[in-house]
Amino acid sequence: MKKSILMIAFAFLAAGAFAQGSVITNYFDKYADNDNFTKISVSSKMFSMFTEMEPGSEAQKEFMEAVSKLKGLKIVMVDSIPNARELYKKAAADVGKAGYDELMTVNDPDQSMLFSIKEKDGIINELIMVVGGKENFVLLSLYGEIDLKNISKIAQDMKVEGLQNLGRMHHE
Amino acid sequence: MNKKLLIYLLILTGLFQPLWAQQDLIKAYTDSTKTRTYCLYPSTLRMLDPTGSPEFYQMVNDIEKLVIYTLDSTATANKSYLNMLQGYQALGYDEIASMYGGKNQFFLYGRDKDKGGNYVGVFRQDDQIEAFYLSGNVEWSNIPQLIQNLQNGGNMINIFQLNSPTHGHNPRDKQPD
Repeated sequence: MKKSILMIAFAFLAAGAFAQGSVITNYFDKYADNDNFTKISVSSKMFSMFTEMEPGSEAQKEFMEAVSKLKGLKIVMVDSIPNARELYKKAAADVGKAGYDELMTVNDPDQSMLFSIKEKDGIINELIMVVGGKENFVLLSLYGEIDLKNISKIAQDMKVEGLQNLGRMHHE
Repeated sequence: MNKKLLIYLLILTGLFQPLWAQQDLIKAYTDSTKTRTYCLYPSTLRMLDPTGSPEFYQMVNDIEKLVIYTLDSTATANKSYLNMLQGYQALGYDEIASMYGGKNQFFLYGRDKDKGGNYVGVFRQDDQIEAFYLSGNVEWSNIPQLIQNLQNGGNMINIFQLNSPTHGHNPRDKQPD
């Protein structure tokens, strides 16, 4: 009996550990075969590339330092769907349910944004961004060791559509 | 059969089969889907740098071979390249980056240098599609420079001009009237 309880407790703990990044993974799976949605995945290998490069300037050095601590980036995005607002609300609710801490929301008539994080021992290990416009929707997850001070640098230098919205967090 | 011999055979086939299979996977796949093949060796890759920089020279020396295949419309239609990439995953290649959904797609897989290196990938832009296999131990940090040189050397080999009307043309495809 004791063994069973321990096993159940362990299963719950394990489920909690795997839950990280589950929101973006769910959306990746859900829209895997839907060609209207663009799915982008960048692994830690790509980010580790920056640690091996020779920085040309101080700005490049700062960018490389910030990026080299990242472990991955996943984006699900769509440009022209009629129910983008509903999709945004659903994703924002899913992020809330998954236990992310809300960092900032921007509610604009044209476009709404939500930034949430997962933090452990004072280190942010996942930043999730949800963007919903009239016809566009973006769900982005950046994971690894994230320093919020460097977010705008990463956003400016990595010219990935949707990611530039991260820069707004630094200014607002 | 002698049991010992059988074990040796199993070990040997297990060790060598993946090595043979690595480039064979893309070769077998492109046998029926390619329209054009570019095969670049260090000697040809050196021509991509007219300045003759020693760093570039060193980098291309680490490349055994770079093969770029232009694929035909059947590959675009049935996305059969995904099965080929899954084959590489089974051989221990990790996904480095991917983008899919919509008309522009890319997939890049690679292995660590200590596991033998090599990269394989597929790039698709609208209806043009290319696959490549890079064998050799190239440092990650050198890949952007290699791509830049390939793009700059476009006048010579015209690899990355995907939107060119003649690029990727399959003679088997029906010609527009």
